[in-house]
Amino acid sequence: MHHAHRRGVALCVAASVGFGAMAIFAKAAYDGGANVPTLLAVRFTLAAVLLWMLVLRAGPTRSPAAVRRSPFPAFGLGVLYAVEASAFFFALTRIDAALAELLLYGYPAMVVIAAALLGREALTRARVQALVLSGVGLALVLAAGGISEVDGLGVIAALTSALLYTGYVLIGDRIVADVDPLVVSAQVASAAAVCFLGYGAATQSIDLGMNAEAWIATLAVTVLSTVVAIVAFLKGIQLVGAGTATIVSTVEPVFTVGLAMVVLGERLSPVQLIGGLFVLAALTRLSGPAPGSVTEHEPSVVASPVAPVGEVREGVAVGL
Amino acid sequence: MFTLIAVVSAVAAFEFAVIKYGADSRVDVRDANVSSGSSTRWI
Repeated sequence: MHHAHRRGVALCVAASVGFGAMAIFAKAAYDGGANVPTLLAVRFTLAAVLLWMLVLRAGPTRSPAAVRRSPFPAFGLGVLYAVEASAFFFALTRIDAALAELLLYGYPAMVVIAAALLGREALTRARVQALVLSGVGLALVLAAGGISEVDGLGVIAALTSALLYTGYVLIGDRIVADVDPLVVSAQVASAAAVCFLGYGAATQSIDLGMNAEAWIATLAVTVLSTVVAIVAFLKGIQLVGAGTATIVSTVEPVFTVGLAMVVLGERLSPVQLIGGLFVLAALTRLSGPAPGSVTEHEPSVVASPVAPVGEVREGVAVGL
Repeated sequence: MFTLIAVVSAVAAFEFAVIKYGADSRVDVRDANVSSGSSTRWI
């Protein structure tokens, strides 16, 4: 059992590394001439193909409840996810990857607030503490960086992506329960691909004439930061459970910030770094089970907002 | 370009090495939707 736990932690770390590298790969793609519609159209189209191949390779699901009733809810979620991804990747064209990532990770606190307002989950002391940590952390990240020097549109886009992802989590929790998460990932990626291909065709904004660097970065986003990371995450959570997976997932923003500093030369001030630690602390504070929820004894975790995999409860996939 | 290739290679090597390390024929991504109801692991 100990070896299995170690393997599970390693798999979750690998997933977080993949997710965390995505923002840096995106920046590299932009430097190579890629634009947001092209990057995301290629990403989701190829990811959908690869994910469906994995679904077919895995064979029939063992859980009767996971035999999909209708793919439309997941496809609908895919449209919402496409809009969220657009906001985040647009933010990356305007602000630093580290800042965008930290702002995106304001979403757990938004989920807590929304769930409380909707009457789904109670606000416990731990959750209020997490909200305070997250709010203070985000404020420090923004204010200490010199708010007047930061691109306001980029900040708004990053916060919008966090808000949209909040909606994605809350809606998905209700409409795609008991669905194989790999299948839902494939469905969400497919829907997002249709959105971006359609948008690209309508606006003639897809330009595949990127240079080699942009292609390498785009394929890295697709394969390493989406498909492989999703598979690693799903395998890892089976071994360690949702609570541990949530804590391990804090590696993602840490890795993004660190890689951005080393590769892109981005610099966060000491106060911003402290703010980032507050955001991470909020995430770990939220890793426990939600009291008052139907599955109170089954903590839930969201894989990462940068990949089309959502909430998995311990032992039972609740879909996304 | 060199930096990008280095980072991509490092991330790829790490991910695939860990997946190989963590690979277990008894653990399937499809099992994410099978309720365990307990702390019993596959191993």
